[in-house]
Amino acid sequence: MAKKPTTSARTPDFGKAGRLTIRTNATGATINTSAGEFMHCELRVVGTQALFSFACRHRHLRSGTDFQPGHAFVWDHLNHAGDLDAPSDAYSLVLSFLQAIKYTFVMEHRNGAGAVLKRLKDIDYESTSSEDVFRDSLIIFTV
Amino acid sequence: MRAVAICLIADILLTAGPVAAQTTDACLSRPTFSAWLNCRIEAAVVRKAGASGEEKQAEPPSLANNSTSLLDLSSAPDFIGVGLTLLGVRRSGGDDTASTTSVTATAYSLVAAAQGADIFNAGFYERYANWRRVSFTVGQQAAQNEGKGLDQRATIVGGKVLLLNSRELSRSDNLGAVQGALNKAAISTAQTMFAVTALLWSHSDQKRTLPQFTTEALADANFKAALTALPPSTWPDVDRLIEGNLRDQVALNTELVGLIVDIKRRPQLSIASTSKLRTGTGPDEHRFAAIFDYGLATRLSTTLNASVDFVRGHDALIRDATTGRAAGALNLKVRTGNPLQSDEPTSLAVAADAIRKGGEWTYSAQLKIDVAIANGVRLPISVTRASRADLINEKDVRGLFGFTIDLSKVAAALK
Repeated sequence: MAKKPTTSARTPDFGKAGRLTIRTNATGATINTSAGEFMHCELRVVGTQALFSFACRHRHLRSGTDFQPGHAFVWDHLNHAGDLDAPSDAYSLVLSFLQAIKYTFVMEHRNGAGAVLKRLKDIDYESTSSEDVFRDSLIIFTV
Repeated sequence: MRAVAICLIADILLTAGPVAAQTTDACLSRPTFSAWLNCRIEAAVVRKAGASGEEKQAEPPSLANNSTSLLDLSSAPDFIGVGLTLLGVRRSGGDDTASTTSVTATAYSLVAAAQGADIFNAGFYERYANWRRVSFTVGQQAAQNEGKGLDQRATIVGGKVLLLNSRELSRSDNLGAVQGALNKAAISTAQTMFAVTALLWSHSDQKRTLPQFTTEALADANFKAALTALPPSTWPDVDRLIEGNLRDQVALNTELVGLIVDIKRRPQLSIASTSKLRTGTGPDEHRFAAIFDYGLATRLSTTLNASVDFVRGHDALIRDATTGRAAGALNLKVRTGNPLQSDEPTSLAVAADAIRKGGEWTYSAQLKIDVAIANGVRLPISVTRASRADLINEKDVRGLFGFTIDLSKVAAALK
């Protein structure tokens, strides 16, 4: 049976008007990179322009400017040489609502063949306040 | 005994701070550990940088007799706006309840409709940015008084072109600095998240490993209990850690708030043409205007209109006439605390115009309050005092009550 999504009450979940709808949310995961496992990310935006940044503790990894203008952004991490900066690292996704009213982020833990082992994040982030920013994060432990 | 009491009071005072801070942690109501951390960072940014704090015309054009606006604004709603004047009250009596209705649409909305495109599609919005510079208005002014001459029912048609548009957010130079700040804030967030998690784990009983603590104790269902169970000495350390890594978060906040304030203050210039067309021998009225908007301060802006008005009579009752008109307004946005569940502020405006006709000047002054009812839905109420010597040979005070809908904002709120 599918888990019922968690939705916010009247008080904003973030910023002045932020709302979260959480279907899946992991705070951490262990990924066996030596077996070829990696993380697969998909970000969808509703609005005129996505303004986001995905980073680890050491460097910026992805932002909207790395893609063609659009409203769907897909990338993999930890399956390319040089992707791994530390055996345990925090990853963050920072979203600006300056030109967007909704983002949906899905992060999956996949095996070397690309099959989904576990869905780590599946969250809607919404805000009608252009000043709002949300910072999501998790820690990946690699073996 | 006295020393014991002093020690007891000191102990209470020393422990009360962190305990109170922990038990009143508003961030604990957030649904996830990330949202809790985001909340703590937001609070720290506000402490460090200070808390921060609609200029698109959906009302009928100023040429309409019953428009609630004495002036026109330089830009139209992004997609479609609807304006109604519902009720008029005139001090000197007479029927002034004739309604005025107008619909304004940008060329962008027409292109989107023709192509069946999503108006919120990022690529489409950016590709057709210049199409939002052109807007069209159609409407109707109902007959007034005896319905003769200029009081006859009229069809309103108009067009507006935004010549100078420095408020377009999607311009790359406007967003480049924000993206740069966002990239740095993301690295800072990852560093803070890792450090805070490790700190929380170090203050825990450490019966779990760090990976177990992260994935289990800080999971959505458990993190509130896990944080509440930590000793009070944890929280000053958490605050120090967050504040020690706050520079890029404050920079992002400064960049965002600064851009929003700056963009709202930038000048805009448009030219517009509006006509009131009447059937049969009824006279037609035309206005050609230059419209300039400029932000004087964060919540204070000015609008200037300069126009030439023509009346073309088609019978002997109305003579052709040409008048010059200048108008100005000061608009003040008032934070209302959103009592009506709107993210938009209520605004107050003071406006005046001067009309030169046949060597004689006439003046009008207006006070207007524009109440935000919901996102994109506003209630403009205006009181105008005019020296209408050329028309009725007496001073005139008129109150108007309207209703405007900016469908782009309504759609965004419902999306």
